[in-house]
Amino acid sequence: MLFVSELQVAAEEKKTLKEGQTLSLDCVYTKKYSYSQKAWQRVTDGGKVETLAITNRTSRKSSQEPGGRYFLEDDSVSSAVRVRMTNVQVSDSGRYQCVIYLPHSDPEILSSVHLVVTKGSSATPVPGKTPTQNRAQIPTHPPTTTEAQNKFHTSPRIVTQGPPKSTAGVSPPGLGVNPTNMTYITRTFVFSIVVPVVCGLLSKSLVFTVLFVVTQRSSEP
Amino acid sequence: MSHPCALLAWTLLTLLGLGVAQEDLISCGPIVPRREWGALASTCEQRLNLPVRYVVVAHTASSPCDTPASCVRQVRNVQSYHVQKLGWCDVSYNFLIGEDGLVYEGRGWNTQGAHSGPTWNAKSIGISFIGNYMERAPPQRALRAAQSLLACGVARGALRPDYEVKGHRDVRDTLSPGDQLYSIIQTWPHYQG
Repeated sequence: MLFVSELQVAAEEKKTLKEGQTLSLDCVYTKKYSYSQKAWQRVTDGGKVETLAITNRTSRKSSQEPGGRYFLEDDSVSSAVRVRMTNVQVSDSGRYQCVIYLPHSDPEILSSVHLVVTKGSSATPVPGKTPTQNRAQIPTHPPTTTEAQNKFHTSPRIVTQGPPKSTAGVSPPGLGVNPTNMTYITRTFVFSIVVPVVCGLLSKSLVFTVLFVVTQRSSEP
Repeated sequence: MSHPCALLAWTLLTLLGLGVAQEDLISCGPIVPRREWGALASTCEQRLNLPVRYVVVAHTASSPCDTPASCVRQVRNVQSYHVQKLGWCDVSYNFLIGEDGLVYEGRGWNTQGAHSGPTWNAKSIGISFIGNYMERAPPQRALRAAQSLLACGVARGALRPDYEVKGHRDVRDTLSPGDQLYSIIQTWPHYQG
């Protein structure tokens, strides 16, 4: 979704809301535009631009008709324009942009938004799905190690553990937890302690294997 | 008999390689991690929505440092000032750059900084050069370290490939990053005032 919007307009963001909700967003700008007028515009498919709200040259707040749905506030301390569009309807779906009105050139687009308004109360995403998605991002150390343990069967002298036992040991319950819920500290713990320990054990096994093979070869007549 | 052993050896070597390629080190130059410079634990909870569009370049306006040992001291001083004097949850910057040519991990890629006000903080990564650059410029190795850090950000998906660099004074009422450093960053390809 993000990649598609990037192809359309460089600065476009996508927002999805339900009918009746309020669109709130901040358009940031650099200090050189502190005293410029800013505007909130709708862009039609044909490329026509309709200005919905504009900051007042002196007061910075937009001059809104009572009952208007568009609110624009220029916060020059934070260097951002705050946009609010209340009670969105399906007909409000489309492209919008925050612009700087420049005296002698085309308006400068600060950011653009693709708004999608859905009817009624759509189903909220099932929380259970998110952990599953993130589970896919967990590094595949456990399965790979299991495979290696299976290969031990071909050289029974080297390792005595069977695969089921080693699988239980290698897939710690902690890795089943949703990583995005892990704090930075827990994730650091997993990656900077579990991984080096496993690698240490594997490297020692490798060294023993090589030494064993070498001594076997040299002791053969 | 030698075939299974060779196969085993190669498998173990591959796993060793996998174990070493931790996410934090992929595609990136060396970044001095928090534990290494003796950071106080962060209590910050606000995450950044990645990838971010803006990079804000600041200076700490403190004394510079040109060795790893003195830079560790400076980074700890900056954090101590922010956390203990100003009461913030952590050092305000996402990364700091020393004149030793090293990048020091601050809040990192995933946590919002406290450098440019709530609106810009939520949309940017703040990096700060350790020193005062009103009347002198940072050395080339520090500038290189910063560029490498930003390339790393793009590679990791923390920064949009079309990210925009802003000077701290472009988004806040401040002298930071100092006249000399500000002139330099204005020549950077990603700079957009």
